[in-house]
Amino acid sequence: MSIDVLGISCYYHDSAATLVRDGEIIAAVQEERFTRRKHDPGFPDNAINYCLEEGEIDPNELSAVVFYDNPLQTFDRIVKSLLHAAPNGVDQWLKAAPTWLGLKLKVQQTIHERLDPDVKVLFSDHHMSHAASAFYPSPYSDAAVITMDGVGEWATTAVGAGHGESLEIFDEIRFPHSLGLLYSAFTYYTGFRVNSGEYKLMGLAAYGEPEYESLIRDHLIDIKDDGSYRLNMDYFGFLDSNMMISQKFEDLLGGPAREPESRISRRDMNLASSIQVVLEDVVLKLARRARKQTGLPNLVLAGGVALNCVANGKILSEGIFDNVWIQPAAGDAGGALGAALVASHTYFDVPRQVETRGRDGQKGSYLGPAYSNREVKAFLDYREYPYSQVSDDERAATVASAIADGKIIGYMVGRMEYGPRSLGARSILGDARNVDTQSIMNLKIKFRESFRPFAPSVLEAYCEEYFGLKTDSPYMLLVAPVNEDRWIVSDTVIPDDGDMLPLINRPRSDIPAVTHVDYSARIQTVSPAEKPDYYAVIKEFEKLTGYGLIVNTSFNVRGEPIVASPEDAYRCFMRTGIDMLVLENCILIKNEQPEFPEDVDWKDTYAVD
Amino acid sequence: MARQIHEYHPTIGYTFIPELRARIPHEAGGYTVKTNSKGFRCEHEVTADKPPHTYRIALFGDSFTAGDGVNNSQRYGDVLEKRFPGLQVLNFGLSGTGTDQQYLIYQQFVKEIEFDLLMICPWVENIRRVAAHYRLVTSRAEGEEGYLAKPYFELQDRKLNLHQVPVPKGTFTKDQLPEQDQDYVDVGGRHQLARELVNTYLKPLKSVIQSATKFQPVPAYDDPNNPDWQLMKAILVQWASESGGRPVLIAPIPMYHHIEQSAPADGIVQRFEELEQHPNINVVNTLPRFWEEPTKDRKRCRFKTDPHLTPYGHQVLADALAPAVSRYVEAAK
Repeated sequence: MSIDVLGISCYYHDSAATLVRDGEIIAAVQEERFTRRKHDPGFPDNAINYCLEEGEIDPNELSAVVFYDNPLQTFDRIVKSLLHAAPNGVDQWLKAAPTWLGLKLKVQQTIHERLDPDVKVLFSDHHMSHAASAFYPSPYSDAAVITMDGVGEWATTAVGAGHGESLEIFDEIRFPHSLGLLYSAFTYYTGFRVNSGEYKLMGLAAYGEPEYESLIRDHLIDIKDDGSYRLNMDYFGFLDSNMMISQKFEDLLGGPAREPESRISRRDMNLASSIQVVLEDVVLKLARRARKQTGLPNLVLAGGVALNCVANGKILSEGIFDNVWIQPAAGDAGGALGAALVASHTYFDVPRQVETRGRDGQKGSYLGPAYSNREVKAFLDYREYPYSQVSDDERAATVASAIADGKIIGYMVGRMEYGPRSLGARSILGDARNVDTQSIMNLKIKFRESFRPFAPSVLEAYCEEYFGLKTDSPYMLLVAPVNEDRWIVSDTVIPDDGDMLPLINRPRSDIPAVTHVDYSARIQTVSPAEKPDYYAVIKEFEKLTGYGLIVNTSFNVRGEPIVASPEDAYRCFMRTGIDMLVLENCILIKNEQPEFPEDVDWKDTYAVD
Repeated sequence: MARQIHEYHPTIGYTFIPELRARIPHEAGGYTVKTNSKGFRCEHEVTADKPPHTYRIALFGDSFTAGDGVNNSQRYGDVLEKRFPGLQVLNFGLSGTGTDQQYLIYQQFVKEIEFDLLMICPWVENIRRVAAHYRLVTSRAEGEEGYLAKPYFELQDRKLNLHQVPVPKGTFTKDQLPEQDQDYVDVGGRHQLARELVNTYLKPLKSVIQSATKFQPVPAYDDPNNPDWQLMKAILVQWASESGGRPVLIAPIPMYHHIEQSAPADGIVQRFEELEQHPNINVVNTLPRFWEEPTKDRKRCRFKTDPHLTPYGHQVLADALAPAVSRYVEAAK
């Protein structure tokens, strides 16, 4: 009898489900991919259905269902926080109470109703779930663990260590002192969407100077040498109101928050740069402390802050640890995975098999649904969409040739990625050498004028030809510099009106589409073992052009969840300026497709990050 | 977005997508549709030759046979297979089809393969589908209603003539249906408006209303000369004549109205008994076995809102068929 554990995360943001069998990850997927509602927080019915499908298992055969969080502890935190803030915070309580009393405290009942009345239901702690998601799939027998996010139950930051099957958290920083919430406060203040736009703030940081760093350190956060910190709650609103920041925060930093979608000013860039510097300082100090406390050469990371790949790159380049592994679904979605893994190894005593054949136990994070060629053809034939069918080799050659010709490709092959990054299974591809790629992708596909460059997917063996990165980065979670001999150095001064466009579109290297304003790149290394079809595309491109890398961005439009099914992919293909769509071994050309009339303007459907 | 489970077929209209694994959300928690390389919900690959020392049944029907609502292993065909060592059941059931389409499946996929017994289990409601040229369906992937074309036969001078092949692709709105076909649309039952009203506003009273009115969902069986029955009968007889001399077992699967005795089933029983006049056809009336169940347990044979058989219902149906199957298996030894 196998031990089959279903992990669930939901009711905050990024609901997800995972299935772990005898310690091996069988399936993992976010609910948003099915409901088409970004960061969907609802009970993950569809994600669970997929996990059961992949595992060919019924709910009554599950060993347990594990929830990623302890609702009672979180409720305790909310109640105590509000009592502390009283008489303020009544509005916040009135807003939160119905959800808590109606949904979150009834998790067990809901699981029994939706799955099986007799299934065992277990609960993990929020940061233990994050820690487990980082440690157990990592390629290390022993590792220091750091988790950082907004808040989970009481904890906001945790430090611990894993050895074999055991995992321990020995230090915590507790709410309201939160690095994640501090960063989110600046996300809000600079006009981006909290819990969604943090990556934009990180990208914006490269344009600015850390002029506000001292103000932040002097007033907002007190950072100790060991990485522990305290926020000055006079400046924040999340304890006693529905706002991230207080009036005092705005007074300190010289004005109100930027209106979403309004022009980004030089001040916003400097704010982004400043908070990024502060965040990196805390993260590096925490890493040094974890190294000192554990004496271990390996570090694993999870929690939403671990998606800050600039900070991750700094940990690596500082050489604090010999090896660093980051859970690609570092946010709350990954909690579902961690919950299932920690239950498997510590409750059911499943022996841990440290992955030695591949890179790790995460399987490239290709853990979501795939659609067979027959399913794709059934979809296309039923609707009479014209396509041609090709072999694997022909597909790689055709796609590579089209990219080299400056075409933009929607690429959907194999199992969907788990986590927020597209890694070549649900990706839009383009030519990194082409100076126009970035603006074409931004304007015709993403429908945004982004200041962020796209990420490169580079053949693992060629990485050092392009980037100052001496390790693999399969999950696009490390930022490293483009090699200096490739730089095209030019004036980087932003005009006083803050118009970044001229600067954004100026080539900065011979791979301009993936080179950020500070000559950095957010890198995905691609190996033939984990994603042979995608490797073959880049390899063919290398044969044609001499460049072993291409542009990879997520297969979606602004504000939309990444596509999951052939239908999602076709819809995105037809709504955008994508030239060619690859659905498994079927290739579709835009100008051969019939008209795609829609009743509503889809751009109104998705909220902006 | 739900996984698409059917693909277009020019003669049958559609089949399951081959080598599919799809878990279908369902009121009972969900079930998994697994298909073989030919596109049937069958645990076995369809080989031209049957395995040695095996008694092979080629089984046909609609969703009750394909197993809507249950996993492959819980279906009556699979239950029977487990009960008789050496028995192999090739399940060619296809959801949403009429007996006409099931006959076409036989012609397309089965006629040339080796088997011992042809077993046809039409859900008695299929008589409406046999008469229809289009069916009202709800796309599982998109959740949209539309009309799906199907192949159909017409009985002219005692001969069956096949029409609407190749089957038009896609779904149609009511306005798009050809004028001459407007009266040949299966909308899923009689008295569509009344059904919708009851299902929307009087659902808790549905059973009471059906019992009180003795609502007969398939009145076509009450008249031996009914054209829909004549057509269905002609298809079954023609099909049996193409069995290559093998025995043919026909076991109509009753609707819940008949199992729960809210509607009379006399007409159904009498009509199918007519088929036994043909030399190689044996008919099994499965109702007596269902009626052996205590009245309160008969509802356990179907889901709360989905009329398909529950795993329990499949067990009862397998019980009903087992004596006849046993006779064939034993005779072959």
